[in-house]
Amino acid sequence: MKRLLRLWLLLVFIFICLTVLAAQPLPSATLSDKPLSQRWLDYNIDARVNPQKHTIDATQVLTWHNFTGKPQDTFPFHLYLNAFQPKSTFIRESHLYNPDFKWKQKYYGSDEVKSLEVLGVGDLTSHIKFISPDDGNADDRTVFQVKLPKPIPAGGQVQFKIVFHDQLPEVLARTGYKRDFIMGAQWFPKLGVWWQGAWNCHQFHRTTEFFAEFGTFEVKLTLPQNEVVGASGVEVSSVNNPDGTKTVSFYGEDIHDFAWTAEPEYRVVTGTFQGSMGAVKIRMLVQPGHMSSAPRYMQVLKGTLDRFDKWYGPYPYKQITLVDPPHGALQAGGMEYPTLFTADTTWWMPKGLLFPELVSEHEFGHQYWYGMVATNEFEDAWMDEGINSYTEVKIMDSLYGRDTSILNMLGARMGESDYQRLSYDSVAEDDPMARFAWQYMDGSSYGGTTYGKTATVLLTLEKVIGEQTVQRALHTYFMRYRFTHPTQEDFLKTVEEVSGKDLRWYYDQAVFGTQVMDYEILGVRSERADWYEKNRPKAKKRETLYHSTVLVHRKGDFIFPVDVQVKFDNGETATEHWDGRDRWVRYQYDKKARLVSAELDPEHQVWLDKDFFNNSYTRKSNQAPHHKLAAYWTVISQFCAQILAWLV
Amino acid sequence: MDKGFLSDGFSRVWRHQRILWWLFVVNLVLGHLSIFAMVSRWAGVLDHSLAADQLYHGFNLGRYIELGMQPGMGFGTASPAIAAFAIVFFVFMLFVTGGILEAYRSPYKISTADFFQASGTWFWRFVRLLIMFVIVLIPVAFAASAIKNWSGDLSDNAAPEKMGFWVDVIGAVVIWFIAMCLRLWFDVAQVHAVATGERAMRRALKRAFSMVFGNFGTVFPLYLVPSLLSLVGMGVILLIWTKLPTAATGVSFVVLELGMLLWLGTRLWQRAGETAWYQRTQVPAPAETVVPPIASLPGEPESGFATGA
Repeated sequence: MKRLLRLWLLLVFIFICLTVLAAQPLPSATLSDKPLSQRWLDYNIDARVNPQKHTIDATQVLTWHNFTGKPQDTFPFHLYLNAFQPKSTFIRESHLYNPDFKWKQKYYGSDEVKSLEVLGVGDLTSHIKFISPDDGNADDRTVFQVKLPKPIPAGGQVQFKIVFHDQLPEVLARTGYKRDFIMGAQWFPKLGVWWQGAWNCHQFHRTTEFFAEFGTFEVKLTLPQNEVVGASGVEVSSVNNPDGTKTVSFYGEDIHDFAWTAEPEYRVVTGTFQGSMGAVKIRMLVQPGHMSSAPRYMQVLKGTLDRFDKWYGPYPYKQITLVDPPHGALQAGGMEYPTLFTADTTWWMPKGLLFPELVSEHEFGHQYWYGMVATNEFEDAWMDEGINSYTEVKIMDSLYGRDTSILNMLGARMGESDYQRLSYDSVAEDDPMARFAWQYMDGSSYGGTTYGKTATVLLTLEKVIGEQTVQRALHTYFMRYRFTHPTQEDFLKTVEEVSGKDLRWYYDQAVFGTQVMDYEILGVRSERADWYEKNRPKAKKRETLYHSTVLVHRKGDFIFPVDVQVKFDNGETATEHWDGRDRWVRYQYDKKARLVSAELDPEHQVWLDKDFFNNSYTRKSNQAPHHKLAAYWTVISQFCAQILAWLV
Repeated sequence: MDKGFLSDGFSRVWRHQRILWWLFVVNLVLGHLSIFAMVSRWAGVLDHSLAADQLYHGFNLGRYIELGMQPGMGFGTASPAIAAFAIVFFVFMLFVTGGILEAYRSPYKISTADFFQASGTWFWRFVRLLIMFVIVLIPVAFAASAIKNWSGDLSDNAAPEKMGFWVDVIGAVVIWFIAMCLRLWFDVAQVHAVATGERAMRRALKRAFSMVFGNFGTVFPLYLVPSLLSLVGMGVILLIWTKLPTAATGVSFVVLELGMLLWLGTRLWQRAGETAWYQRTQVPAPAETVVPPIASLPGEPESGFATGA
């Protein structure tokens, strides 16, 4: 009897333990014990992946909390994978921007909603209606909406149970498969964002990215046991199933998207960064052939985490995952997702070419400018790509040197600032920064403006309010708007507030306008004051009086105050400040010294100036630079001629 | 391989080094002329600009790209001139090839007039030979393009990451080998034509084919060794160049010009070696030299046998 009682007690104990364990809350995915965002959504997805067929079959239970303050009965969803169809807006625009683009069947992708049920209401699959709010393309099926028979009251919640089937494309842009590599991105029906008093749910365009609401993600992925898996959030469990598959569970919170990757060949490299909120686990999934890049990835990632932590704010998540896509899948590289990003490298990447570093830094930076400060990438692309490109410049320069932060090999060098500025230079007159991402003139203008121009505008802003003030403004902006969806005015006003300056004159031209800045020293003269004398005494240094003039000209229509530094041959320097409002200004000097040179922006801070060569003028000609170029080009030309002469 | 042919060829190049120097000067002058207009435009931008210093002390690629992005300054604007002057050099080389071969096969130092007379004599025949060479090269070009496409496809799609690269490398070596064989064949056809006074180029080609591929083990190294030496030499020169101070324009230019000289010299060495081999191993039908000898340099070694007068 005693034994039976003991056994009974043991069973009760085990049952209690199991119950307690089952009721355990999911481990936190952040370094905070409180929610960091207003969690509008709880995604619970159970997905089965078929790597052979490149398909996903999943059930998603989505709970939406109505924080809009008013009843809601219409809900728009993104189905991004449907962009990979020949008549979609995405593919149409791909062909429009690049006529050489050819559609191939392997690019086909789809996200098919098998059923949509609203718990407590019933099956609403037949209520699904595809809409195309941006361009009216009836063949585009990247957005659908469903109208409920009864609105969800303010403060209430609704649960959608969606069964869907994905066909992944071979990687064309960001998501899909390549051989046995899978990048599971934009793979589930994603609810639009209630923003600025309305639903915001744009079609997927060639030049747009994403916009989604914060919440929690509990995702179970069932896939073959040989797959190495990485995902947003943190891994909660991994259970092997009898059928040779395993189910890996992930949990993410205070994030607005969930991406994952799987490939059997991944090598896992881990590290730790001690941030101001605690230890951050670095998990890198690297291709076997790219292991030589792993230390480079790790170094730049730690350096970037460190700079962001010190300059802009803490990284609050427990983990960051770096994914290194395989060869042939570069289109999946260089992309950001919450707590996970894809990098880019090759097996032959030279050390002096800092491409893996640049991509890693940039994509990690999106954890801040997109991940936490979750701006609308459809409408305000400059706010994520551009601000991120600016911080990329600052951090890469800090880590690798201002003139060598992109290239430093064979005597050639190039800094990030130049890289961003040149990408802007080529499209300077095309589009303002403030423009919906799909409305730019073309892909080049979108890239050059959102990335290059914004970074260059912010670099030039340092000249107006100071480098430290820009940094403080970004810090304030981050801390104030993290885990929200700020508008461009939120950012612009924060900068004005922190700097204490009215910057509208600058914003109007740089952000909302297409004005081009190009100041030039049109010419300098320095001649003897007694030039009219026929029998002048021989000139004597420091005794003969010279009349010198500097003519400064504003070529472009961007008005910006500039400094002019004038140097004389006795070592004297004069610095002038011109508001730049008139078309030109002439400075005149009478000194017992000859003018040597005049230079605009002597501290080289006005990166928006389109032409650096005409920013200075030396009285004496220096032919050495053009001789150097002539020498090299002569050799190139000779070489071409000799190669052709081989035919003889 | 009989090393004597190579050393004999080298000595012929050395003996007739005036040819090398002239070709080098023509190449240099044409090269300079081809970029003259572009450099003049650059001078207008750079000569009074402090920013130009970033191209002189060190090499700021950003500044260089910025220069090229200026209206009328694009590097593409120089391409037509470079192509035009390359064609001029090409035609010049086509013209003087007859003279060069005549000089290398002659035990005597030929006069300038004779050199150009031989050049003129063989010009149109070598034009015909060139057309045939281009026709023969067309399938090779197609093969090279196919290999390039294949390797590109493998680079993207094959599971082993380096497979595309290795296909590219092996393909390049194979194409290079085929191109060398073809060039050697046509080189020997030219040598044969000059030596025998052959007017029918197809016949010369036919004869050269059996000569080259009947003695491939002996004659191929005459082309291969100078080629390899030129590549290795160019590699060394480029390595030295990378070690030079970036502002040492003069020294850099001289070093790179040595590379150009080496490239030209090894090409002439191939021709001279082929001529030496031809003269010492093939028995050509008696032919009249286009150029009668005008003088024999005292003490000059007479390698090979002289044909003609």
